[in-house]
Amino acid sequence: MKVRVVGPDDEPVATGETGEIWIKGPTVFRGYLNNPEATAAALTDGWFRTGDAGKLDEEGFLYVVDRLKDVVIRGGENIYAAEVEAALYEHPDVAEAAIVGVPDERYGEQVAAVVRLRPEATADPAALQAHVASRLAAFKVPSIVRIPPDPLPRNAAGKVLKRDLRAILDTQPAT
Amino acid sequence: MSGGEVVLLYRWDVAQALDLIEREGVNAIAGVPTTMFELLDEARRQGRDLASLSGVASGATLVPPELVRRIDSQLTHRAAPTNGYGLTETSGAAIANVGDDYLRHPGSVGTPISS
Repeated sequence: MKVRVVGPDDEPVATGETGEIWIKGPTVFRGYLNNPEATAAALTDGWFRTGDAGKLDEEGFLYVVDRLKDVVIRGGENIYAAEVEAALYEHPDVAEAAIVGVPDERYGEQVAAVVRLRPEATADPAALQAHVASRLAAFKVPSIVRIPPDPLPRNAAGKVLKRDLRAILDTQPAT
Repeated sequence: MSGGEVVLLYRWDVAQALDLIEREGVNAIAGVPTTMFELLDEARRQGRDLASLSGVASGATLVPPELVRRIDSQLTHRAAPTNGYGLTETSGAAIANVGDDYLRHPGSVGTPISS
């Protein structure tokens, strides 16, 4: 298999820069059944455009930064949900964490976190924000943190359903 | 020819998983990061060493580097952490990261699978 990371001009970006992950090789599919438009949009010269944002290091290791659509854009700054989630997971009290963008009048979007704590853990939103602030730039720190008691909504494959998180953010009391 | 046994849970149950790993001598386990964290947490709480495991794979979502470090430290470098990356349109994994490579690049999904 082959991998490349491509910019908006469909050309590979420099090593270490973030772009869309493209994959080519014998196991890449031939197309979507009876959907030539979707197939044409997904394949370019045999390369499959994954829709995921990533980067390659000097040794050729691939880093998946996020789904392109899971980028929160706050005041013009791109914030990858996965980076903030990884920082939250480094807190010992955190059992599950997910980041979504919520509309904001001033910044366009704000970073919102939904976190489930481990049993008997006591971290509050301020502690989790301080934890992220100690690891990432200030603009990446979630301005909204909700800690519902239930497990995060997931699909059968175990992926967090970010649409359903927005419902939690609408119903849980503000912090 | 070689073969192996598959041990399945009807649904995820961490206590049952720990029992099955010991009773069946399970060598490799795979699950989303949430379940693998639960497995390691519960094993630590019960003082079980998961001695039969030589591989712990995770994926289906972005795997926190913290999980890779936990697999290595708690299982005392006996079990190779594994991650991969692929989509339905690539017929499964196209990229993989295993063992020491993964420990050196815990935030990476790895390098292209040879084909």
